[in-house]
Amino acid sequence: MAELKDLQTRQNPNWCPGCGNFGIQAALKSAIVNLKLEPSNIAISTGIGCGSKINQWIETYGFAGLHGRSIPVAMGIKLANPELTVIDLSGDGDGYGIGMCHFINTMRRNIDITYIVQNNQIYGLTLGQTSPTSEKGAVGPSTPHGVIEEPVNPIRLALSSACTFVARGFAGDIPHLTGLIEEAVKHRGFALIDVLQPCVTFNKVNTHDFFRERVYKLSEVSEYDVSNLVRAYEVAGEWGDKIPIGVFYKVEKPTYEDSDVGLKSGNPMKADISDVNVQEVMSSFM
Amino acid sequence: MKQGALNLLIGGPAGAGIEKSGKTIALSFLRGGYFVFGNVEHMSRIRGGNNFLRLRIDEKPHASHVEEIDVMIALDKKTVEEHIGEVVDGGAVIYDSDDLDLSEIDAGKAVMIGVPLKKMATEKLGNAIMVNVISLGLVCGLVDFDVSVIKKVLGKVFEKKGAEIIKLNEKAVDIGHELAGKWAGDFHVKMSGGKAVGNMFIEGNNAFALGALKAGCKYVGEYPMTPSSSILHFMAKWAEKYGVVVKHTEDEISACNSVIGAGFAGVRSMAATSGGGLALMGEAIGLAGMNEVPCVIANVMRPGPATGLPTRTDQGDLRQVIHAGQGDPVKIVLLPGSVEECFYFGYQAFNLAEKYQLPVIVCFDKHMGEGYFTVPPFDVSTLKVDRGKLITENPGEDYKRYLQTEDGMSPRTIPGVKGGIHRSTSDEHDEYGDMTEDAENRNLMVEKRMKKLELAMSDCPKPEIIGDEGAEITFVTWGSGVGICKEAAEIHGNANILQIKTAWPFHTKEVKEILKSAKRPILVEHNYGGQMGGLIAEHTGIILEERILRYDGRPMTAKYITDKI
Ligand SMILES: Cc1ncc(C[n+]2csc(CCOP(=O)(O)OP(=O)(O)O)c2C)c(N)n1
Ligand code: SF4
Ligand SMILES: [Mg+2]
Repeated sequence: MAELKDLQTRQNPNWCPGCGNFGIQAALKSAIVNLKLEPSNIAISTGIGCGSKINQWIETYGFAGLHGRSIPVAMGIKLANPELTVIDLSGDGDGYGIGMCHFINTMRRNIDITYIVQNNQIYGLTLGQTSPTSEKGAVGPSTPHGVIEEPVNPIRLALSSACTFVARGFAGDIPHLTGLIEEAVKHRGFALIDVLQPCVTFNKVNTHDFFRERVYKLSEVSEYDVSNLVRAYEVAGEWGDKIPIGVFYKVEKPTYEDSDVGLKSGNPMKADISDVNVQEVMSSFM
Repeated sequence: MKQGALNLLIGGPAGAGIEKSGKTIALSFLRGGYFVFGNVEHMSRIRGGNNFLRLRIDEKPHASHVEEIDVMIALDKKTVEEHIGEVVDGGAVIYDSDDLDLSEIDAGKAVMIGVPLKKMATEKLGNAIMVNVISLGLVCGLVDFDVSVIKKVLGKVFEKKGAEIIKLNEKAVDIGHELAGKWAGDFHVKMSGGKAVGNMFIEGNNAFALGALKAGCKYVGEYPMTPSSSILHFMAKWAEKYGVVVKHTEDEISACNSVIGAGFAGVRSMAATSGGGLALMGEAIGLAGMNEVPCVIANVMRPGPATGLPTRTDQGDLRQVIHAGQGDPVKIVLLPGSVEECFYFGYQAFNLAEKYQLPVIVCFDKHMGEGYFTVPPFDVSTLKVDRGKLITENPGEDYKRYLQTEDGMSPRTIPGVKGGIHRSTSDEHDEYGDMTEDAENRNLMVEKRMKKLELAMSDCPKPEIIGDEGAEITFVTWGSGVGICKEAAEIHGNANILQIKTAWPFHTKEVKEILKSAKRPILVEHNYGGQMGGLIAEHTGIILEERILRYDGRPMTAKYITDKI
């Protein structure tokens, strides 16, 4: 169990003042406190980017790996020690660009990981190139004539990839995002929270104000039913004057860990490996 | 008359079950007290083409084949066309006379045993599938091998299928055995029973995987790639029994990163792949070096570049495995030179990985990985798990994951351990693991990581001279070259072998010393560039001028080497 101050690390964030990542950091810390989690039982896996640096600034176990590869690392941690709370945070470039293959495939597996995407629709750390979620026509140093392709819709992608918890948050609404993270961590299975994260330095379109004027909460839509996949898919198409946030879809299904035969005999991390008996295996070659 | 040595080849199109029937024959002779070496040459296709399996059955062990055939079982004409020249005088070619028209083939002094196998199987046993078992019986009849041994083997192979199937198989053996009658008397090979008992018939891949299992590997991340896939299959087969999570991932990048995640979480973990997959793992191998995460990777080589010859053998990845990943290589590369070493180095790799907190690559070729060898069960009595500086209890105040220590190794906590919280960071980091670009810290950390390699040198298998010290010729080789050179040395009569067992860190001093006194060193490798020769030159300044290199994807034989001296 931790208090907020216990989650403070030796260093302070060096994000640009006003960066949406501050809101994500605050929400994640609050969620950890509210969930009464023991920080040493949490492993955070991150990629490479502005957002991923969050690993340095939350006092839990952390693995800061490679650009786009935070999900396989998180998977390895979870399958090696299913008792840990595993949270993955990385950028839209990480998850929806270079690491897209891992993203889709790990959703299918329904491993019990919470995946928070710091989606600023930009490559922040590499100085503002457009990203897979940049809107069509968005201009950046790598696309001076505007993005030609359609943006990735991560919510729809998740809905069609058997993700069992699909949500979107907004870095500017910390209490709401805190609630989403708590729900996602409690959910048994793969939980995606795509977080609208303003990048004040490079993204001059999708700003705090842009989102503040547009977001609305699905939880406040009276007839919205989180178990209705078709409806979720429909709502996930909204982007413009109105942008929905909250839980789009949620379903209970067995996790990967529930079904993997290698985990039947218990937590691999706790296995006694001092003298594994392989006589039976050797005999099978005789 | 030759007693106790039989070279057999079964060939046919892919999908004809060559490997399966070959294995049954091999197991029969294994039980009958012989050493069997098996080598499968297949094309990269699922149906058709021409595949063959060679069995070298002898009273002593071998690590390579000979291009001589005493008995050929031909399931297609192509097998006969391609290999008839290898059949010795008086050797037999067994084939289905209804199936194959071999009238235009110049059989020389080979004995052509054409029998309507399929027809017999259908008429007498009600199942054409029994052809292979009839052939097996025929072979045994030819060489006077005890049929009861075969029947026992078949009983075990078909144990789960029930008594009726076993009986049918026994009957098929008898039919074959009887058929042999008219040729058996004059046949030049007799196999009346060997003395070797209690041996295993095992491939390098499975021996390596067995080592991993014994070492307590509990997580496998792998993407199938020939010729490494049987490691994945082996681990998947035993996963439930041994509590191993075996994940066939979406690609090698995921495989290697997940293995690193598991290693970070305190579980012994491994991946296996071949050259192309290793290339994809490169960045993650660098990550494991930087973050000081223990993990093991097997690289089973095939000829490259690109897709190359997917099902053939080569040793062209030596440079790649050493340099996989960015920056100076923080890793250990082991080169097992026998099936036993596949097991022991495989086991040891996990100890080294945890002791030195880095990735360990175990590199061998298809010839070793998919070749079958006869060895006694591995002696596990002296094996001891060494988890290095792993700590599972609260390390106390001010814990530093990357603490600078005398030996370069820092106490390592894993998630779940109170008081041990840290970040494992792929950016350069300080002793706590937190990111920093400080130049002085950078130097200290680079030196810390590289110092571990200097220390590891004493724990890594050292180069070894096999044979008489003062021999006229010294074959300088590694991996599957070792077994083949051993036989070449025996034939030559005045040669020894320098086996390099660790590619990184390199045992410069030891190699230099050995080579200085070598009278006529000859480099023997399975690649174009003589990569080990290059490595030796780089470290010792000694250039090996005389070279026997092969890069056509086909395994060397002892004769291939002795012909070139
Ligand atoms: C293999 C690899 N390619 C490229 C890079 C360079 N790189 C670092 S971060 C990044 C993009 C970051 O964008 P995103 O993931 O959206 O994170 P953000 O900085 O926006 O939070 C890139 C391309 C890298 N580190 N590794
Ligand atoms: S560049 Fe953008 S994403 Fe990066 S720290 Fe600054 S505001 Fe945040
Ligand atoms: Mg981004």
